[in-house]
Amino acid sequence: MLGFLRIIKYAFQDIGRNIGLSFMTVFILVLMLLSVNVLWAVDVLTGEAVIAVKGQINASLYFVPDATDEGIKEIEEYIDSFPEVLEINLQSREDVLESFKKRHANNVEVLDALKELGDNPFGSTMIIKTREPKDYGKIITALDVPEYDYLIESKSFEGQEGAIEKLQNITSRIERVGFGLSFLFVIISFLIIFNTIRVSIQSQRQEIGIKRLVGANNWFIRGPYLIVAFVYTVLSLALTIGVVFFALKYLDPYLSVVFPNGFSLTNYYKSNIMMLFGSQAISILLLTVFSSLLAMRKQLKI
Amino acid sequence: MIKLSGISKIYPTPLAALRDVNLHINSGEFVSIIGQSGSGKTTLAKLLIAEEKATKGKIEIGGNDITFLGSNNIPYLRRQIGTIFQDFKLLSRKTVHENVSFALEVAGKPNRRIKKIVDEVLEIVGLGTKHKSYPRQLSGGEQQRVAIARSLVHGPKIMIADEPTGNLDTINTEEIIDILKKINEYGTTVLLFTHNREIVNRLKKRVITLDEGQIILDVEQGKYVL
Repeated sequence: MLGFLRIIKYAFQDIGRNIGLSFMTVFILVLMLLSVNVLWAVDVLTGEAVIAVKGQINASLYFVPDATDEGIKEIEEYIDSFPEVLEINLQSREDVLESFKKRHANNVEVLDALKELGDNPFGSTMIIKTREPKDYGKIITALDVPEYDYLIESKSFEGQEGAIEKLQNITSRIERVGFGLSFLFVIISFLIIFNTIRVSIQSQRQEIGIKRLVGANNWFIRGPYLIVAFVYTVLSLALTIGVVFFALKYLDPYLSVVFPNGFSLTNYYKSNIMMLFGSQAISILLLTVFSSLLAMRKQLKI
Repeated sequence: MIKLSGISKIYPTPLAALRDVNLHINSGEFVSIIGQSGSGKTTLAKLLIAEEKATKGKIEIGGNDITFLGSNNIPYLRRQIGTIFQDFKLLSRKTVHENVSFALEVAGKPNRRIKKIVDEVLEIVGLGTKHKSYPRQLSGGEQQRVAIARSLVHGPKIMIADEPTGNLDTINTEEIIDILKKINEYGTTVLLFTHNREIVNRLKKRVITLDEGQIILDVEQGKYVL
């Protein structure tokens, strides 16, 4: 226990008496963690944007005005039997007419033409949402049967197929580029941190030799460096958390404009804080400890 | 106390730093080991503190074979042998007091005892008032005295001094040699590795002369003859 307390004392002495190098190491660690968090946030936002766009996509079935309720019900049940279907929203003829009137409330000519017709010219409309955009094709194809031809006047999905395909291509490309960038960044960060710690320990090569000569065992020499690595990890992580939440406070109002569903990065970070910063803490700790042990390996052979 | 039997140290170059060295040093002796640069003095000092391993032969200290001492046991050997060097080998980011107490802290001594011993040895070497200074704030002679204080804290039976006056002026050299003589008077075996003719001649103690890795002379109350 006494030995351990002394190792902690040496570690804090090393940090304090080498404050320039300590500051630089923590600064580089914070920069690395911030970059990781930026990439992470971009990934989360991209995912959220894709979900938002996907949420806007739906397929509409426009029924003929004289389609029977039984016929419409039968189609609704048939569509509902597909596991890919998430939601079916049926608008009656009257709802469609009301919504049309509202939409064209300022267009007198359109409203006059509607009056001329006398009767409600609209049929019911069925709005379908699937789990994935690719599922729309399957549903639409399933409805292309002669039994339903006389009930369905038109389907609105056809035009969106290209857009969905494009969206999926963009999404998967962003994911691939994001993964590649993250991987590249982790490698670069690893090399920077590893070299910073290696240079720091090699500059103390002579001191390590002296400690060995006066009878210090390996753990008395290694211990302070490992504690220093731990302190660097805690400090850099605490600073990163502070900077991240400070930045999110100013970013969230802008995000609320882009994501009307109320998505907030602050809430995302708060609800995933253990996973997000826990994994970063473990990675940084492993990186600093591994770098320290590797850099010391040679010196300890004296 | 110290017994070397057929010791050779051959480096991969291949260069024989020591060749078939046989030596016996009794407890309480003051021995000067002299020789020109490259004669094997430093290699011999390194073998005695297990900083190097012999290629052949056997080294015994206090009856224990240390020739192939395991790395786990080396710290224990080094805590029993005081060592001082030409370049002082002080920890630059520790104060005088911390440099000296470090040797006791690594051995697990309690704080109160460490303070008592360190204060005492710093007084002995005349640095009681400079315990808060860093090595860079001291003269060469003072730095060497810190190194001596550090080597004394364990109350070693053997003191190995490898060119301890190499970086010092005449006055400081005399002071350091006087301290070594005092240490010897208290019963510690002193091995002084040097090529300083004046010191050796003035000491009038046993002199072992090394040349090209071999002992060519071993004289009681000898002189520097190279």
